Amino acid sequence: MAPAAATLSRLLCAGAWRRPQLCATVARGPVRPGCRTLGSGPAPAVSECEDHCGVGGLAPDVREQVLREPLKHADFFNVRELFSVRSLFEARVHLGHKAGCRHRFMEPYIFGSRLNQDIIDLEQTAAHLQLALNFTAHMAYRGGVILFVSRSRQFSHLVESTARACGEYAHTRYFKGGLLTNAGLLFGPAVRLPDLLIFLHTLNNVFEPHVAVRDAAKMNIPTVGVVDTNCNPCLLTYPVPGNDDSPAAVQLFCRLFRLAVSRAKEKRRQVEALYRLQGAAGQGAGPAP
Amino acid sequence: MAAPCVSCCGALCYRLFIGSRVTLAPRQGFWKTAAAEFQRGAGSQLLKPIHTTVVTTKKNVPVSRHETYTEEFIKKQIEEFNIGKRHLANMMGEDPETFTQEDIDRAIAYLLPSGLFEKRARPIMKHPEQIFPKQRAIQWGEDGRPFHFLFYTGKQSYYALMHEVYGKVLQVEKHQNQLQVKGVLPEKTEIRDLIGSRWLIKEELEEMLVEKLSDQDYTQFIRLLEKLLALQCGPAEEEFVQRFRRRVPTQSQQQLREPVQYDERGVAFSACEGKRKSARAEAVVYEQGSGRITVNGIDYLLYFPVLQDREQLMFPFHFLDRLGKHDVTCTVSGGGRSSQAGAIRLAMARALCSFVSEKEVEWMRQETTKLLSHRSLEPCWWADQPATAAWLWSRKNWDPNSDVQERADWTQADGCGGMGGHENVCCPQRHGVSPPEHRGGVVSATAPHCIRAHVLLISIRLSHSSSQRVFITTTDCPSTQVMGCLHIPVETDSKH
Repeated sequence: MAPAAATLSRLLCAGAWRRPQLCATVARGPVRPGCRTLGSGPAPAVSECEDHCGVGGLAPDVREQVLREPLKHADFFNVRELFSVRSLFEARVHLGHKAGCRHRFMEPYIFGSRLNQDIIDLEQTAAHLQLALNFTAHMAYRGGVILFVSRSRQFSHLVESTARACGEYAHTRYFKGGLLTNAGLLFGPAVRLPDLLIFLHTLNNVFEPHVAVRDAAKMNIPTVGVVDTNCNPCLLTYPVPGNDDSPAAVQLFCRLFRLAVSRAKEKRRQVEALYRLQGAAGQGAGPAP
Repeated sequence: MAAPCVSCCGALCYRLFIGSRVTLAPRQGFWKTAAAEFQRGAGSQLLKPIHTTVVTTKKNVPVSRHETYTEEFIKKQIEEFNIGKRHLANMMGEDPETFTQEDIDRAIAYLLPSGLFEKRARPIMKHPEQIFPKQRAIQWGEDGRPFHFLFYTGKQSYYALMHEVYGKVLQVEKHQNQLQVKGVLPEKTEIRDLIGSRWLIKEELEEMLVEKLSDQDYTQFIRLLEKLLALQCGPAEEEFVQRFRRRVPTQSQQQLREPVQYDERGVAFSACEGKRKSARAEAVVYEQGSGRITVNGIDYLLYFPVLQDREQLMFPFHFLDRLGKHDVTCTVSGGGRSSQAGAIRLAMARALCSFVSEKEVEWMRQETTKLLSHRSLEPCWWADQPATAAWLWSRKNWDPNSDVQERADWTQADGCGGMGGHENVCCPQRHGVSPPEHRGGVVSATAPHCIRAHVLLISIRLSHSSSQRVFITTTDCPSTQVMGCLHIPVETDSKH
């Protein structure tokens, strides 16, 4: 696991991408991750803003503690155990397209080429996937709106079912022009935009980058995406180099994301219950320590 | 998409509002421009000049103003309706507790009688759910998270439906694969009773989903359902698909059969009426006989010296191979010799239905043109009219079997014959069945795309053909401007 660890630390310490800030601290004051409302929607107070789970009567400082707790650990939700390089290999995640389809910016992630077919480096994939799943879990823990995007007709039903299963949202249909950038007009003034976009397929049906990649970048929405050898990983926040054409690979990714989100939500419920019990016990014990 | 349901009434009221505002403003120049436009035959709609001056056409403004009703508003309306219902019951002297919607309708019809032809223009008192179009409630909860998992697609109900149907397709395919592996694939069964039903149309689907759809969406949906049907699905899926089919009242089911009667001698006979053009006939067909036909007491050979008329009389029997097996006594009046022959033929055909099996009745109905119906094709009266594409298209594409009976197509055509200085707009209106008794009264013509006006029939011009041309003027306009020309395709028997 040494090369994987090295890759991970390299990615984590990469200053140009500002990733350590996003992973480590919660300092995103003016951007307000929790409430992306547009237009004249009512702007809630800062303390409520970062958390959209059903709080149900927790005190603000307790809520803050609930939110801070996962950020103290590198892998609070233990997403590492959900997969291994072996399982990625068995799901054929390492198979890329032919060398002619290769995108220039995918070259760092390619292990090599065999009989003119590109092979993706699964060590890097594992590292990136761990980061992506961790981020997804954190977002789900904080009650963020997660939107699964894919424009592949073959897997449209699978992606929608996955989203439904973990209680999040999906968009595998024709992407209307101003969906993210002009949502106030399309949906209503106080609509809440997604907090995370997960791309199972970064390209659309005509092998062009999906419009949502660019729009999410415009709207400052973080994105996680499975990038194949013919995709452009540039605008994605957490690219995951991997195969997006085999059913086995896509099913694996869907399963992983679903488990991460479910785990995170379950964890959130547990932590809140724990703090609620602690609060009740503390009150029952009386003012004396 | 902020307010998906734009109600027809709302849009109409809005336009009416605009229209009346402009007519009140005495701007001579404006009307001249409008007149010039008409005479130029710009092919634009009546409302266009009015519309562009009043409303700034901003494309991106959300359509919200008139058509959105808040929840409190609807709730208040429902409360008022319930209180009003009780008041009405008191007024009518009935028990407020057991006052149903039919009672309300009857009470309103009694208290506020209206002779208006258009039923939608009469006073109605219905539950607000039926009056105000279904609105979309706010789609997200307090925390901002939308309720539906496909909210961000924009057409959540439609895509959810597609998802569901595709899920069923996959399920059925998987099941069939399993059966195939085992080797117990069932034989192809015949298509079930798809006859007598039709797929619901796009408007019905839109109404069901409370969402706007495009034509491609609708086509895709129907194709997916057909794919599901083609896969030999089980009874549960069939029931699911039947939800998207509507019954079509087929003509053949509506043929009434006259009961067979018996006269004093015990001979079975059947009496029926028939009509053609202005001739009325009543025929009594006896079950036993030798093919004698008596018309008005005179033998048919003497009454109809022309062979063609006698051929007409012979036809129903010849079709059923019952020549010379029945005796007929008939009385006929009105019309000429040919129409009298046709009227007797119709009466005899109807009477024969009661002696004949159902299958043969069906066969009669399908094989012959209008043997059992007195309707006939409308002659081509538009051949000598000046041609305008829009008018002719809508006129020729009138479908008598269409479900939408009262839709009017208001298209502009210049030159509906010399009208002497009027700005005339010829507007063909489709009427499924023209009610002769409503001529010379106040007729309310509703058309989705123009001003709802109470029209007064000022004249009826009988033309040589069977269709009637009726000129409409609107009482709202200050000048007696001929608003339109109602073409009512009447039945060919009308005398008026």
